[in-house]
Amino acid sequence: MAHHKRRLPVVLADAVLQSLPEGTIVTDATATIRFINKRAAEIFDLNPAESIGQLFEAAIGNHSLNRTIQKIITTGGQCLPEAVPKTLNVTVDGKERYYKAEVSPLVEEEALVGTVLLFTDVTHYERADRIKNQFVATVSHEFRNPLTSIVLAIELLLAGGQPDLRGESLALAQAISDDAERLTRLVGNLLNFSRMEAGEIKMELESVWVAEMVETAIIPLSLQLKAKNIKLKILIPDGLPAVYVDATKATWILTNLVGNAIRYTPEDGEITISACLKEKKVFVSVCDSGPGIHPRYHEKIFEKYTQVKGNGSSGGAGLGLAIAKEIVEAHGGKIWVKSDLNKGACFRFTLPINEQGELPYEE
Amino acid sequence: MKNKILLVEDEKNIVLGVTICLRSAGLDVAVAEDGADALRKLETDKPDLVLLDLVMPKLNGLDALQAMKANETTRDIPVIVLSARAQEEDIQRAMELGAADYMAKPFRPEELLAVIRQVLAEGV
Repeated sequence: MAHHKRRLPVVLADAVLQSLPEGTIVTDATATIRFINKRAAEIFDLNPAESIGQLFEAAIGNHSLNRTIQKIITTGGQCLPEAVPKTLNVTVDGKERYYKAEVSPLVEEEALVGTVLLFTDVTHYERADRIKNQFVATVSHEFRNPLTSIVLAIELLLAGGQPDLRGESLALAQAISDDAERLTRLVGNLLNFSRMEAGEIKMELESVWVAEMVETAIIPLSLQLKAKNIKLKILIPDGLPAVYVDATKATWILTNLVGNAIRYTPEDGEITISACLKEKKVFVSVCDSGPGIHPRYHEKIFEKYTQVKGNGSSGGAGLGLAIAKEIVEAHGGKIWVKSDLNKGACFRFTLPINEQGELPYEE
Repeated sequence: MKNKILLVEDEKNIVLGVTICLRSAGLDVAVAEDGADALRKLETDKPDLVLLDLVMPKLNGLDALQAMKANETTRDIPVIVLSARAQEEDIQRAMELGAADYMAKPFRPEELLAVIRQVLAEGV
């Protein structure tokens, strides 16, 4: 019968699963372990025979994975797997190793019968990533000293109104100033990102008014706004509750988004910053009247080192939005973009409110 | 009377930029090339304020700051730390040791002058 033909002989299927380099665990629909292969037993330092029949949480004790399993079970396998798989840090045979954990629904005859967990060794990627982060951090530090003398020298020349500095000389000096500023931004972003990846940035949460954050965020951009004669509209309703965030980092997101908006908005254009309360979260939007972003890139632009070509970008390391995403997600929020070509772009992100209703500290 | 600033910095191009920036703002400038040199010049030059780099040969900035704050004759001179190492723990360490303020490199001339003016005004 066709039905039986599709199935591997049970003995062979077991041998295949046991021989996989990936750790594999199968649970039933009560989150009880029904199968565990050799590699998974090694990863979690378990006796395979003893762990079969135990609840996943009791045997493995990983709450976050257990939550994912429960979510799959309670939704009948309808919940989507998370975009970013979890990475587990475990010690196997005295050595630190990293495993990427993925949980999928186990479906038979269109019904959920359990879950399958797959653990892939990503230790070498993690190590390479750590070395890269250290390298990036070191290089960014080293760049700051020469950048300091460049910034000081060119700004002193420009501010001093040197009589020899006119026409082409002035334009060249201005070019040095602009690009020194760009390099400063890049170095700062690289450093922030490498530190965030390394988990070195601590979150200091406090209650803050969104209007105050916006005000602080646009201070460093006032010259750029003026230079391109861009109209900035700020629409923040009275009575919007305070957000509970790391104020410096959340403000940085706004500065970054508005900075991007300025770069892509033509002269005399318009940028709107707005905020509203929805589902106990504050939604903040930064909308520009620039060239827009093709829907193909709407997710990709939040990945690190991503640049969308041919849209008049003034060039960056492709880190600003990746950092913004890390910060938003560290607050338990989401960030996304709505845009069509030639219709501007709207970046929107969510921030948590202080449910205790604690008011911001007034100086 | 002109305020005198002691700049402690080993990068000669930064020394050039900062010196011109401060002199054009009407401040007097003395320069020390490392932490040990700074401790000597604190005694001889008696500055009103110190601009202190952190990563330097011989005696680094944090050690120099600590020594300065441990000495009764120099402990009240305000110190602004200038550093490429703009990490939170460095800022915190410098502030704990008694720095009046902290500037991350790179900075613009007007930013540096604004911080110097503010720290000098607070000291009055």
